Amino acid sequence: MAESLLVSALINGIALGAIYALISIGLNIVFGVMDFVNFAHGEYIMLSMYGTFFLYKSTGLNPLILLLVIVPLMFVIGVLTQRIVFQPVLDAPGTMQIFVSLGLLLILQNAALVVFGSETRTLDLPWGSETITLIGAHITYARISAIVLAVGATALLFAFLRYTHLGRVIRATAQSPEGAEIVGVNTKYIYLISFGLGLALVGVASAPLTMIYYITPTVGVQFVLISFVVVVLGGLGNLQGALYAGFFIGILEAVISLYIGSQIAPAFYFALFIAVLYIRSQYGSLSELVRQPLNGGTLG
Amino acid sequence: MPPFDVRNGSGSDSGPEHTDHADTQENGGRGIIHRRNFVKSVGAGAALTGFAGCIGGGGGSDDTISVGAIFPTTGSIASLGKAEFHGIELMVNQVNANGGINDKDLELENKDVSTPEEAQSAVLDYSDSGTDMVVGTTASAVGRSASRIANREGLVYTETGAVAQEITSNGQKNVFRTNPSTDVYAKNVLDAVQFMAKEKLDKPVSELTWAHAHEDSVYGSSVDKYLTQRNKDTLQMEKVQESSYPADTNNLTPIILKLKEKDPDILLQTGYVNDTILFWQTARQQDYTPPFPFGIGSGTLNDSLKDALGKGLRGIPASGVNGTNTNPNFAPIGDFQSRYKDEYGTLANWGFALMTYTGMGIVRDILKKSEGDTGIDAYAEAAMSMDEKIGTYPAGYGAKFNENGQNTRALYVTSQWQTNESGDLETYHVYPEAGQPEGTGIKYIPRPSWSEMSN
Repeated sequence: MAESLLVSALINGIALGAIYALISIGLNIVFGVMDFVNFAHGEYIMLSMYGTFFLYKSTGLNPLILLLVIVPLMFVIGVLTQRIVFQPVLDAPGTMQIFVSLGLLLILQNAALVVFGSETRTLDLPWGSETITLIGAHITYARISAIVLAVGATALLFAFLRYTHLGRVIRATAQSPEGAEIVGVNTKYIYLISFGLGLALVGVASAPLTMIYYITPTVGVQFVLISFVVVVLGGLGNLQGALYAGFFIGILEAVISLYIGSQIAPAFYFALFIAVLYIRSQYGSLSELVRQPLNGGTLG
Repeated sequence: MPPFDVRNGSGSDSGPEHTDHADTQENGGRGIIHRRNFVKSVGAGAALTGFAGCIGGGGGSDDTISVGAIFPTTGSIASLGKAEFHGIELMVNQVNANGGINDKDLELENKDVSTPEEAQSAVLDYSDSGTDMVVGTTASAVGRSASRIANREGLVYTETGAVAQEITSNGQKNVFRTNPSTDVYAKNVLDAVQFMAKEKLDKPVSELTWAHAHEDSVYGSSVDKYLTQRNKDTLQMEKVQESSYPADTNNLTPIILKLKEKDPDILLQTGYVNDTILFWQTARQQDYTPPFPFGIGSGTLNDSLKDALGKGLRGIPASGVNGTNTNPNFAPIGDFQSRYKDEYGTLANWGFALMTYTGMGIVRDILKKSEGDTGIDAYAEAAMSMDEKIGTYPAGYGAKFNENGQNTRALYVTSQWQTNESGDLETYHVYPEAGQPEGTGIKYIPRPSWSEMSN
């Protein structure tokens, strides 16, 4: 197979991975801070895409500019969701939290169906589908924007968590909510901020997603399953890990689809998902697995 | 850089139990009850995870003939499902307004069904509530499942929308299909390809190469099977690539890249709406323009694709049912569109509603012959005696059923995306030639580049 074909697949795989990363980082921050898996995460992707779509239709502004509206809006929606839906079940058993998020998923999806209708919507945005040629590969501006946004958002988020007071408080709450409360941190407030941040990141993803994909009330489901794989592979709560894992899954999917077939690609990364979960259950983490043989331990 | 460390999380998530088994064995008493409960549970689970709901209903009375429909009104193919259900509903309303069948009104109910599991559950519900007959549906996998369960439950099942050959290939006495099956698709596509290539391409047809990209469910696979076989038997073009993909895929770039490398003269694509949008969008992004692109089925005939590609869509032909820009002598649509607009506020686009409206019209005529009897023997006898010539019904169909219950006088047509005098995109009938409206014809083959077509 021609070399240029592989290069094209790799470059587009990186762009796809950037989208997975953007979605996953939002999911991961919620999990990292709150130890809670939000199954309705995909529905917020859907809502942010509809938001971008209708704003574009009414203003004609580039979806990247619309991020100035969508990102804060998603932050507010995140804060409200946490306060109204999840905060009341914060101390409930994990299974109840899962059912609440599944219930929210159904409510949001069916509400979208009623409000937006079932028809597929798309943006025929000339700028989004224009391409540049990079090492012989065609890549659209929309996909390039996904890469820039993924790397930029991760860097900003990392800097925020590392170098600001609020960021340090969020990290402290993630490491030990009880310890944080003892030193006077209002953890409920931190959870509100964290959930808002998670959905704001979904908002960041909405611009490239809306330019590249179609929008339906069920579109979130196709992305959220992969984002679970990315989160597990990158490390639960590890933001940089999610970025790298997103790129890795995007490239893996592109290469497998090219050489073996599109249908088999999900089988590969879900096999990887199970393998990583198995390793974590046995060894705690991938780095632990690497360290053990060096310390004289065995894989068996 | 220190990692943003968090607490460990663990947990097991056992997803909804899934089954696709279709038990065709007759069981008695308790066996059936247990199996039904199991299937219903699975269906309920599928409804929960598939985000669709089934609302139970109750069969008919002695004064009515109850018709249970199973069309998706939520989920990714809801827009097609709704249009197809509207076609059924419109005909039912028309029948009732004209005095019903043997003085009995038709009583119609729809269950929102998107998956084979939901279809099983819905048909069992209809059976339990004494519904007289079942009609469906939009997706082939759903139609196949529903027809099998209807057979087991002793209900007449009429397929009016799904195309997979398997639905009417088992000799089930209770199953009928009014719309064409996959082999008819294959015939229309290859006949249209031959007709259009002869007019517009320089090479002899037998020297052309072709590729087929399709979604990988029973629908796309079945179309590929019959296309491949029919090509072998007739045109003998060289098939240089077959690419299948899941309909809910996020990424078709590798498939487009492979097709671009193989560079077929003719590129056929079979899909549902969303994957077809992604397919052609990706082709445009990769600047891939096959000389003769050709869409098969609902994916290429809808408003969403038109919105996604704009004028770039010009020149792509599509095989399916079409109610726009067709010679009225070819398909006697009559007042269908005005009736549809009165009822639903918009015109019926792309022929899906017309197809099921026609199908329900055939069911009406069968019921007239059986004097409203929906028992399998009486209904089957009436259906097998149907002998209406092509062009009788609004979509241009006739009615003559073969031993498998397939209407052999149903047909597909090929339309092509073109712009009208005002510059708006519309589909125009191009094949069979007799259906072309005056002053129209095939355009944009070989197809210019995406950038030329988009401007």
